[in-house]
Amino acid sequence: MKQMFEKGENMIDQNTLKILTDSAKYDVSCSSSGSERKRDFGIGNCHMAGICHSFTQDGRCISLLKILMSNKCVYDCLYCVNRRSNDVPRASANPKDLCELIMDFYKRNYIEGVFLSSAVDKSPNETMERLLDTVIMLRKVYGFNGYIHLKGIPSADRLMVMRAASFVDRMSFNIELPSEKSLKLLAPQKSKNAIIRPMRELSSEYLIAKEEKRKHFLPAGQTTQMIVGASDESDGKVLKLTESLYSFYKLKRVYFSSYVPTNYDTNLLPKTSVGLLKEHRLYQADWLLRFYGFSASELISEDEDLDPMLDPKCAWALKHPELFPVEVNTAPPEVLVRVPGIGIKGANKIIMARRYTKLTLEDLVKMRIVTKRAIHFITANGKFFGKEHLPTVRLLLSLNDKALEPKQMSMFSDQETTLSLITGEL
Amino acid sequence: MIVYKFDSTKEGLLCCLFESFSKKELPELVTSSTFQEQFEMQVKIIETNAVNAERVSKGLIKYGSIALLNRLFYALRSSDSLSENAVFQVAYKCLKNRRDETYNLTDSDVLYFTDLCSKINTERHRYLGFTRFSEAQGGILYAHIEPDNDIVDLIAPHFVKRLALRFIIHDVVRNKVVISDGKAFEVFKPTTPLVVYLSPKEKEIEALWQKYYQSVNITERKNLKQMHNFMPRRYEKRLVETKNLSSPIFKD
Repeated sequence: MKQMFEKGENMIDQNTLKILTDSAKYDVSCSSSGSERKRDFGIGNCHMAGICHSFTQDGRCISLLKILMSNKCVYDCLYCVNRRSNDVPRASANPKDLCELIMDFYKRNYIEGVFLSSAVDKSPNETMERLLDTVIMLRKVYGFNGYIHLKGIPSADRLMVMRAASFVDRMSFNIELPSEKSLKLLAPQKSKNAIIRPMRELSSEYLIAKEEKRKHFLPAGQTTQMIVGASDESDGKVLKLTESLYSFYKLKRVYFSSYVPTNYDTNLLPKTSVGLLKEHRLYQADWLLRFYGFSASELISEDEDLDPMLDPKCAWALKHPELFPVEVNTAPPEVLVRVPGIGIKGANKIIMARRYTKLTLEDLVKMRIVTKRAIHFITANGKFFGKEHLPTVRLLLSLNDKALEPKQMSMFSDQETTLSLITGEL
Repeated sequence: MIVYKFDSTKEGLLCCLFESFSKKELPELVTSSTFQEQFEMQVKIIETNAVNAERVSKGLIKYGSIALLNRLFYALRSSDSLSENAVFQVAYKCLKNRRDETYNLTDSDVLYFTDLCSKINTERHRYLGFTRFSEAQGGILYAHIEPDNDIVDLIAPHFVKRLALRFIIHDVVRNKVVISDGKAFEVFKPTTPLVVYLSPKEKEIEALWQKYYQSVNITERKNLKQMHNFMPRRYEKRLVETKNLSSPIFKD
């Protein structure tokens, strides 16, 4: 912390900012939601729903200043741009400069807060300590009450992690890969235990903090991220893992990041990215787990992959013809949201409108409920307009899947998924 | 065809409803703006009268709620030329059927009305993020915005709570200014043009932000269509990160 007392204007220069951002941008999470931190003194507060401040050309939102303290790494994880053996420009920032930058950006309303992470510079403990210093300086010296998402460093001292958690809004330890086997192969210096242990400790502390009404302990909870497509786990396995992370460790979000090759000097990794469709389908399924009351085993068995040609809800509905069609005028909300094409918003509209009148198919169209997929699974005022022959329905559903339109194949994911990814929609 | 013309105030609109019910007639258009009069139009100028307005607002509260009244007025912030008419038609239905009709989504007037509300709401939320302040000499923060709807006083409380700093937000479309001392805010219409001298540091910070904006983009995943879905192009010229970028990279 000695730089803190140096004289003069300490501003991060453009080059350092570029290096530290370039290294941080592959982290998917940018959500600023889930926290209602108030301003007692100083500047800033948090907005429960999160706020997007800008959008980059890849269609992702900028909500937080996503930056590393340092990209100098002692680890050599094969999939990572910052791995030790990679020849990339290196830089690091000191806590004070970083705080100044954050404050300058925040008060101009460029950002909602900061997503602070770091490569493992020297050792996990030293890295975690620098992160902790920065966070405490931001909160205590600069009086900053904006959103802080702090990336935890695996194998760092437990007490430091817990202390950091009492200052930040959200913390995340990246699972990195969906199985221990892949982790051993691709990130030999990280162990499953070093990642899972702090997650478990944070989640039990989180529950205690809730009980004791310590509202400043991780108000926005924990999240994690894993790379899909770099190793050979099935989607079923990934989803099962995701589900257990939600139920055992009370995570708020699990992010998937489609593997993008950045290192070409190894045979252990695919040379090309798997495409974004896999990631897209996983997010759709994740959505069904979190908001639609589905369980992973309902959607898919553990050794299966999700059907690339159908969204997971359509695939599920086709497997259960005995449950359909449902009558839109009488079906309870939890049944309506299971109809392909009807989402939470659509279901809400239907429930509101049917209090006034018996809904017909024309009414649904008028209300802008997407009926292309839904017609095969609903009756409106007793009338059925869909097809009954399942293979035909399957074909039609697949034809109406936006993600499969050639132009959109290259897309990050559809708007709805990305929006949810951004806002976290808790 | 009956047309009601009123003075654009909320009370005025309520008086249109009063007139309509007391004369037992349903105007086809209710507006405060000038319009092309046509031969078959029977235009009535509706006088604003506090007593009548009060009676109508009491009625709406009785059949619906205060929230209903607020929701109706909320839609008047829209720049849509038919917004006043839409609010009138929905309010008329509420009074006639003696219930809150604003969730009757199969009704075209209600649908039009809820669309207006959601557009205003979306824009309000967007500007919580898309408002960009510059630091002027003396430390006051200044932002100019160009919203489609009249939302500047809707976003102001957010910034008062958040920043607790002196700031000005200028709606340049309506020449409407919100000024805050960090504790409360006031709305006024300036009579002379506002002149703002930026602090010397401003250029440097803007350059850093532009650098960040470019660096955080993943070029392999370029997807301008999606970017513009979330951030329509009309916002670009007032955003620090997009205003100076030469256009080629922003073309599809």
